[in-house]
Amino acid sequence: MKWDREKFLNSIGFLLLAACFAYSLVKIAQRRSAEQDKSVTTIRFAHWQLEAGTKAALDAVAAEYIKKHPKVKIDQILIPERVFATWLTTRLVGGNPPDLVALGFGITDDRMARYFTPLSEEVVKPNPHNAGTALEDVPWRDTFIDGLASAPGLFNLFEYYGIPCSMVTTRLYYNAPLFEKVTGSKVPPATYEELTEVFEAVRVYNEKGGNLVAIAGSKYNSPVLMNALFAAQTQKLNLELDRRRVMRFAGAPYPAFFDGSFDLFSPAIRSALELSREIGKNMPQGFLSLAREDATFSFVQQRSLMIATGSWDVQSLRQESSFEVAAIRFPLPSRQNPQYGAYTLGPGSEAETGGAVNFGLTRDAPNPEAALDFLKYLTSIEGNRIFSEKSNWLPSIVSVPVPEAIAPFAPVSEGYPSGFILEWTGGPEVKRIYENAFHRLVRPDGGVDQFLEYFEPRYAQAMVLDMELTIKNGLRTLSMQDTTWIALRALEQGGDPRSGAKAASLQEVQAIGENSYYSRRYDLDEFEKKRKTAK
Amino acid sequence: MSRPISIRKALLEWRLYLFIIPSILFVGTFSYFPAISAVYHSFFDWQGGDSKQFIGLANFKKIGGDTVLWASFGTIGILVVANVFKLIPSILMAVLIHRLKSDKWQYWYRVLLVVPMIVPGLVTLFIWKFFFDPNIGVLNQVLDATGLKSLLVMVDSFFKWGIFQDGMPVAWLSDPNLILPSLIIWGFPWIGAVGVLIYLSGLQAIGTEIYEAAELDGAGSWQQFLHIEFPLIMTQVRLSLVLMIIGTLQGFGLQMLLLGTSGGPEGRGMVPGLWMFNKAFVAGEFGYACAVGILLFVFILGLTYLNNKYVRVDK
Amino acid sequence: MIRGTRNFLALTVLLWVGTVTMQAEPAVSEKSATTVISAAQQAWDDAAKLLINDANRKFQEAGAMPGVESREIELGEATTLLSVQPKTGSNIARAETLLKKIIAENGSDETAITAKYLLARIPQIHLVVRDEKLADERFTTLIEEHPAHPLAQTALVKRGLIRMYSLTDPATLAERYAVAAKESGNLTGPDARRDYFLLLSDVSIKTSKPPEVTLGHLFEVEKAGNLRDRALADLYVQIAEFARVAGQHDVVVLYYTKFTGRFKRDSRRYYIEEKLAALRSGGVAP
Repeated sequence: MKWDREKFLNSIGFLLLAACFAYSLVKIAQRRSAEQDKSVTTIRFAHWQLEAGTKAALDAVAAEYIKKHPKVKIDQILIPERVFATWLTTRLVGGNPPDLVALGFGITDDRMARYFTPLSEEVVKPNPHNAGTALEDVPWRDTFIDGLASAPGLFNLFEYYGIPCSMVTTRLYYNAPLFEKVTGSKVPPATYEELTEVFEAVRVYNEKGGNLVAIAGSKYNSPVLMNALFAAQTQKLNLELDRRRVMRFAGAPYPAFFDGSFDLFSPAIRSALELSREIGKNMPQGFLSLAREDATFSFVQQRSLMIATGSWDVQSLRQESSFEVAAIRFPLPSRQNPQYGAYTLGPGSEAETGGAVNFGLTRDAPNPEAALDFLKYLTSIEGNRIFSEKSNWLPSIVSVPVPEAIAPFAPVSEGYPSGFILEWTGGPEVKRIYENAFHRLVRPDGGVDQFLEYFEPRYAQAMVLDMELTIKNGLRTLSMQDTTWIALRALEQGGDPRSGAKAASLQEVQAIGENSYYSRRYDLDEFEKKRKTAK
Repeated sequence: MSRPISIRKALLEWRLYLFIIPSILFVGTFSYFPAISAVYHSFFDWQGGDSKQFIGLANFKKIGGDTVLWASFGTIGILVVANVFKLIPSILMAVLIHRLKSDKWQYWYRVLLVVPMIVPGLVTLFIWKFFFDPNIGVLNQVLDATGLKSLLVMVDSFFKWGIFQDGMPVAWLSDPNLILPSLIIWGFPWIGAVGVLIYLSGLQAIGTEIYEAAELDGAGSWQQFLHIEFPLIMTQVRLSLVLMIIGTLQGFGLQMLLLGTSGGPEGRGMVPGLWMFNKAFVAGEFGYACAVGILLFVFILGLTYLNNKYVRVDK
Repeated sequence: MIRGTRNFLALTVLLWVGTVTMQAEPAVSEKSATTVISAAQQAWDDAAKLLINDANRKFQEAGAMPGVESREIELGEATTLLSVQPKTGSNIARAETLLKKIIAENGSDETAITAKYLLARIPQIHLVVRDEKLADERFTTLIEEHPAHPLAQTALVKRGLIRMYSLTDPATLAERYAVAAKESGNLTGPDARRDYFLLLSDVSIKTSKPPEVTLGHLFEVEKAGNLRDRALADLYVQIAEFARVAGQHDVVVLYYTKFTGRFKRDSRRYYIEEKLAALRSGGVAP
């Protein structure tokens, strides 16, 4: 047969497509045949933690579990954060979700109730995988460091829907050998005063020909450090403004702002902004326009000495860096600091650090018993230890030792109530104008006055809008709670005492929420009246 | 244009229309349904999940007092005007390629134009974000290397802008005064492969006899372009204008990637599409975002109508 | 032949479209053997889990069963209509009609009392344009007709909120607080007392009453009990702090000790331990 070159060339594209299709068909067929092997139970769990080490750690836990249960196969499904919500919704609604799913993106309370199995009856029983240990007879719930106090679903649905396998904290990482080279010391800064000495050392190093930035900054990383410093500066102010005297981080200073006892010209606010500016001066020029990856590259390429981020990045940074990466708590101004000390109490307490990477058991799970058993293993002393050691993430189970490599990340309970952060109101408007104004604070010819020049005139209206949104959301929750409360009461009258307990809890939650709703509405109305009168 | 068939004939051949039902279903599901859903949800206080409350025209009334939204129309107006000028390089490129004597070179220039199309648009945006990096970005390095930075510093000191300073890298995306210029500079040299190909196809329809006649009449290159080529590709230009206006008004991906959801320093980069995104995914006010979307739709429709009415195509 | 083939093809397409459309229709609900009572329980269970639309549908199906005249079903339907999605004025109006019907049939049984409570809640929090004056009137009716019922006790709290923050008679918040404080004796249920005194404590702070006054309210909240851990922790801290301002050091030590004894993982613990240590040694807390 005469070989037609042109025909052959024209058919390359088609042949390529056909080959790819055939390969896909074979792969799917192979997977299907594995699934249809009834003697093997396949457990699937999905999450979005793509950071280095997490998948391998979970695979290691799975491998140990499979050794004990040879007829089990465990598949990990990794979905990027950006599309997790969409992917999950499709699977849940389609009725073919994995057995276990990380709770977070795409999960609302009603979705949790509809698509996930409450584990409340399980958490009060001991974890069988802790047999032979000190936690053998301890209810599963009490084996968690936070006692499952922050479990998804607990607050609004009064059920435990999620089980955490880790905890997270934030720290300031630094390049240890470079730090020693630049500062001449191995001892990292413990206070802000010592941090300023590091800044000075970097400046001197650059004068001698270096090209180093003290702290890698980006839109993602900079707030991690700046907010911690800001909250430290507003600790005393927060207590002063807290007329209810609960000494708790209240979020935004709403009541105080609306009743006129707080404004942006407060010395503590000024001090906090000055501190932010100082930090900004030691970050790369234009850091606000940089992304998380830019800051990470800058650090691993040794163009920056330090970077602020969470414990979830330990493994990634250590893997990508050719140097020793160490970490410290954020060096905050001490009370003796002449410029900033007057406003601070001390380092914030991490006592209430909650669980992270919560997994929920789906109602349509193909293998719910096996999946639950695996989840129990993952959160047993043995399983959680393996996970923590391999991933360098903090354990969530009591008596699981924190690996040496991540010891600096262990939550520290000794500390003081946090102050508030100006841009955090629970709403979007103050945050938006804060971001819009921030360049005025940190640019070379900027400062606190320039920042306030833009921010202050817009602050009141932004607070009003955010408060209106908070009130509206609060009202929505209250109205939904009416229905669920009556339903729980009806179930109690039908002979279910658990529903009675839930109804009592919900009544309390609604009362506190409604109190807050009315109080905020009143404060806002009074403030608006004053504004109209002032005009 | 083909003559319409009579209703009687259409009814006689009714079976044939059944074959377009699947296509209609697909278009209805994936194109019209989302739009109708947006209109529906614009009358609700909707957080994006399953809970929503009917609030009538409240979202539309709120639009009236939304100063950020109306300011963003000002920004988008500037960008639309800039983008009109940014159509010109594509037209010129098409003319230059069209005038090449060698078919082989015409072919290779077309290939060179098309090859970059395989790079996803998002990658191009990321590359431009890197260009704008004040420390290691290409733009600042080029300005330094060519001496343009010194020129800019000189001009700045004359006009007292306070933007370009000696020894300080230009913060393209951190200085509010540079946001709009950055959004306009983006995409330099503004030669879009699709646009060039569309114009080329129009230019290739022009017969050689027209050029010969023009040469005989003593028309030079520029006059040929002005009086022959440009008028005869007006259909394509108008199409490009419409698509450009729609794309610019709706678009926000560029601004979001470069500046974030708050529109950058002092919100100078806030455009209506980005505000709609902000309201939906940052503020959680999906119902209001739908209402903003409806407003944008009306705007675009109006501009498209004006474009069709006043940008004439002489047949 | 060709015409026949075309007709055949056309009919095939029509049949396919029809089948797809019919299958898209919701399946006709099967008349299961479940009794009305257990159907209602299932529906209440759904509503308790925020599956409101499902619950509403089940109540409607139960109500449509022949021979069924269950007031509980009607109450369930009305309750779920208040939160069914999308939330519309017409659904709220339907709920109101159902609730009024329940009350008109028999105004004194448990179902009717619940209906009266919900009827008052509608203008308070369910309507887009709220009518708190009407809510106040309806709560008053419930309270006067069934003063000892838990829902009437809860109604006292809800009405208290309206009268405190929304109505303007008396004109100032301080005056309204004074009236509300006097009425606290009407509350007999522990949960209602807890919630009412929480309200009074907040308003006493807003109106800058002496710390002893706020303390009094907070003690009543504690006495009423039934607080979840987080709220109880906040209460202990509040009592200790107001006692500190009022100069009642014994109370401060007592409540700080209660707090540190019970709440091991609270971000305020370390600070409170410092304060306690300072108080015990006679020093000044930071």
